[in-house]
Amino acid sequence: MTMDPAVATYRDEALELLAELERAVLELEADPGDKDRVAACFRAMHTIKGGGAMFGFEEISRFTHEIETAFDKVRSGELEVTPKLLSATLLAGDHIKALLDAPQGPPPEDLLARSEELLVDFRDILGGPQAAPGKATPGPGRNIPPPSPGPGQDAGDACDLPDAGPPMIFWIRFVPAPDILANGTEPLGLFEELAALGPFRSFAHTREIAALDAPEYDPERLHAAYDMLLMTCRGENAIRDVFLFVEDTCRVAVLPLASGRLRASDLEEFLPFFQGTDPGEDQALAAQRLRELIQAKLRAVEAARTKAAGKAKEKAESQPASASLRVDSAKLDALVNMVGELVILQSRLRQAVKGEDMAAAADVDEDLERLTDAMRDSALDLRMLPIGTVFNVFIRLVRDLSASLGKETTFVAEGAETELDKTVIDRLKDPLIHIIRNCLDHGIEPPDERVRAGKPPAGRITLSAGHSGGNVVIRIADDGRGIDLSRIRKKAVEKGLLAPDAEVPDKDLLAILFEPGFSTAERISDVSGRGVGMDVVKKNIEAMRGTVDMENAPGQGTATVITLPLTLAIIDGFNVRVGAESYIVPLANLRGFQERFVTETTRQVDSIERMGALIPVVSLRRLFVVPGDQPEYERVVITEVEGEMVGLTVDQVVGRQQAVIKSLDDSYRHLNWIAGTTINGDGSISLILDVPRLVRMARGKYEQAARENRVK
Amino acid sequence: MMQEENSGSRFLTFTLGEIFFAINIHSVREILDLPEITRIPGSPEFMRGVVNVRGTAVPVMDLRMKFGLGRVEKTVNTRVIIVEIAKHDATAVVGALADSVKEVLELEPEAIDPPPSMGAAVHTDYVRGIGKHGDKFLLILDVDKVFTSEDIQDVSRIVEEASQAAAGGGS
Repeated sequence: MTMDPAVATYRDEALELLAELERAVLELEADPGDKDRVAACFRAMHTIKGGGAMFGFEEISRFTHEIETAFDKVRSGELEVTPKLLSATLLAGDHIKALLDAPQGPPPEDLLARSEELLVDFRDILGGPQAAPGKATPGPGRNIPPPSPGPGQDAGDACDLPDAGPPMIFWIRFVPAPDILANGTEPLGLFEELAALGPFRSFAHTREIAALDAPEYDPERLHAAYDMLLMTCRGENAIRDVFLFVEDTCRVAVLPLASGRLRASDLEEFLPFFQGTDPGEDQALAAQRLRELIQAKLRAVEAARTKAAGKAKEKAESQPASASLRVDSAKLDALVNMVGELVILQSRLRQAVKGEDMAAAADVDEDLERLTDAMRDSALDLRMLPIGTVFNVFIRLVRDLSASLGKETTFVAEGAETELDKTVIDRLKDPLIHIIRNCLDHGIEPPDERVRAGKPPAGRITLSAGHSGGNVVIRIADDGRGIDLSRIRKKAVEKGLLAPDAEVPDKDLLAILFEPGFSTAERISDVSGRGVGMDVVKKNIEAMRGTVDMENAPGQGTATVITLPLTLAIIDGFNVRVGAESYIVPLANLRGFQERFVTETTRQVDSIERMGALIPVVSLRRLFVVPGDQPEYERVVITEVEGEMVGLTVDQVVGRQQAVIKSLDDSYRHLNWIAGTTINGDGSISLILDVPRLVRMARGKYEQAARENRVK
Repeated sequence: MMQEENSGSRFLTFTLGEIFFAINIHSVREILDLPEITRIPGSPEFMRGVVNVRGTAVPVMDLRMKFGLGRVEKTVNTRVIIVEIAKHDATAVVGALADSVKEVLELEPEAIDPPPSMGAAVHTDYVRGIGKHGDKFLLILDVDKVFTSEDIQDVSRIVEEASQAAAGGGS
């Protein structure tokens, strides 16, 4: 039961169309008069319907028809765009998604019931019986096959009929009387009747048929004999009925072989068996052998089916999202061009090697470097998607949630064209949903409270995305009540996360929000407040080498800022050495280099002057306990994270390097300062520094030391 | 696989100090000469670092340190056994340092005794059994458990116990 690739394509396409439909409907909500949007809805429905019928999603096709009709009427001006129609369409879109996800074959009872329920709404919208075109509205029950008795069902195996029994495979031997044509019987008709009972294959014994030019050849006499295999649920009598009128003159034997379900194509495999049998011989002996063959096949099919069912289930669980990716063809063209260039470079290299021409080889090397850079960018670019592809989900989320919470909210998305790695976007969706839920539930106040506070009754959630350096910054802001820091404080003390008399800056209080199990919500709603969330959000974002921060303005709203690297695969960095060990400092965090002379013993965190200000400096040698002697002269790599500068001392700065990130094995998950590893050109390994964490640690220690000094 | 585990199966034997160990051959991907190990600062001491195995950074564990038997030093016989272990739903690749790698043996199930119970003080759940080969005891390790647990185990006592039990049983 592997999914036909064409069906998979249809599914992917339908899902995309549904997303388009959702977007169009949501835009229609804002502007009901938009003709283009109506047309888009109609087109999406029309395409889904047509494809559904083609690829065996009968129910989708049937269901979608009604919605298509509605939008057709809107298009021609017969029907108005009403909130009711739009809501119903959104629900219908969800239902079609559910139908797409259901296993192939007749959909389960509950989905069919849901179809009917939604269709009633649509008929209602379409306005009574005269609006429902007769041919489009199937009577109840028509076209709706009963629930499938098992997977792998073939169309028309008569198992759906009320008098059906368990599926049986029969061997029918039919030796027509030679004069059967003369008395008006048409053998083909008999075959057709048999085929109507279920999957059916026949083998004709033609040995008795005389050659065309033989003297005894008579075109009006039938000398063939037939062996047929039929899988049906209708029982032996139904087969005998077919031969009712020829039984007296022809030899008809019906032998049940095995009970079980096979496809017509499976039956075909047994046809060669009849080649070796003689229509005149005793059937019973041969039947025994055939029975064994069929039973072996049945077992094999059963095993394959169970396995496939298991696999399909597994697949559905592990990978619900589509794994395919739509790529702008211009991007692909560019890549293909570069591959062409690569081929030419290779032949140039061969020439140079053959001629032992170092200068030519150096040329090739230079060109190759440029090309590799370009190809890398281009290949990574293929994985880049505009972040707007997930915005739709949020529009819908905000709409549905604010309705259920009794709040009014507008959702504004900016920077939809900002491109991000596909894996990042996929993994970003859930954290963003969570943050937006928080905004809606905790941030935005109910309309009356807003009015009292002098704000417009409708709240506003703004999601903006944009580039900043080598990072993408995503900011989710609301104009709600903001976060009450005293409440966080109280809660944190209650939970023992904070000493009652501790003096904590606001920034650190906000950071507590990201602690596991922390929630200030007084009641748990179905939306949020369970305290599983912000810590998971933070974990997910950090797993992508990103950071999350909160900004808070009490009474005016909160903003969550997510900073993410552009890509997960490759970074630019500087290779530095400490003792014999080699580390990479990501270029995105790098601000400059300084030097220092060491006269006395170094501490793990010291300070250094940079541009007139003192900044903390971390001795990597001491922090990492690198073996070897402390040199007298050290280089200081200045890094910056979130506006905080921190220096890192190293022995030597080797140079700029592109690092292909190899993430560390799970056994290193507790590791603090290392973000990953990379393999150098000579096969050795460098460790990529987790600069944000280093900076945070250094700042913390530095400020602590400063406080202690003040106390002294 | 299951069947093989129930009947006799094949094991790779190696030494850590004086003690012989065995792991199921199915977990072993390859055996390498000791490459250059890149230390990872901040990791537990028995995690010696990572090595480059054809472009992948594979973590290397010093089983001697993990079992409280000192530290594997580099000699001509030192090897890295690359094993594949099941972790959640994926397979992880981990290297194990061994003082020397000996041979591949077939052990009948009768030749494998269950690990001695040592009371709660010593965890024996990473030892699948004690095998006997010639006059030597082999500690058969449960690869999945050894390489996923994070604590250091004292293994020498198990061997002592086993040989005492065997001596006691023999006399």
